[in-house]
Amino acid sequence: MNVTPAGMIGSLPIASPLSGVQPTTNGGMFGNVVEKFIQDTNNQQLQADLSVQRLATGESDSVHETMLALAKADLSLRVFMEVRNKVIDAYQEVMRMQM
Amino acid sequence: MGFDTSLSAFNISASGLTAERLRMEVVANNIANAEVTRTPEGGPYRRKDVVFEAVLHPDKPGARAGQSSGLGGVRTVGVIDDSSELPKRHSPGHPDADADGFVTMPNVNLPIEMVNLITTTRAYEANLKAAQSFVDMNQQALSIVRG
Repeated sequence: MNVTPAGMIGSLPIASPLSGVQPTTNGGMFGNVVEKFIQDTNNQQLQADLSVQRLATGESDSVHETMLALAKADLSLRVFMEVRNKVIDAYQEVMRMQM
Repeated sequence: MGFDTSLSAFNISASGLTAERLRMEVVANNIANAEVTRTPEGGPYRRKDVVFEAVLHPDKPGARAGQSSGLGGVRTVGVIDDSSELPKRHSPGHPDADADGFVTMPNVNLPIEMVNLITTTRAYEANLKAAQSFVDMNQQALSIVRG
């Protein structure tokens, strides 16, 4: 019977959409992507905050712009949460893997 | 960048809402001034109308990549005067009456303004509905990962 040695696994091509892209030194690719994502989400929250402030102080008089800014912030946060949940799910799935 | 490109439909709806709001202001101003015979420019009030213009960003980075359409919604060009003829009303006791006792009145036609009012309200509603549908679409897309 011919058994494939475990060492062969290392030679299998590992699917990576980022192959060919060199990870940067500080934090790596994924870290940068997450950081940018968080920044984007945070920016939407800050914009919504500013918009509410402008409405409250009378600087702006359009209710709909404030409401749309709030909806945007809400939506971006939801997207972020879904992605976060999915990433954590994937991480836990990997951690549960039998060695 | 980021969410601003993916949520660009919001900005389009927002521009529509802003435009309709301005139209509402103009209609309200027309109704409020329907009997005004004196203005800073002299003469009776002239009915105002708004002119809108489509906004396009064909050179936006997302427009080529197919992420964003490059559509920018609507923009107000300006508020213009209705140059139609001003009606005259016989009212000799009026301080603005001419030698024959006729007063030049604003060319505001109340039934027309009422129709404009309804059209504006409905257009505002339609823009709002577009924004709400966009939220619904995105939330439905989020349900993909929820499984």
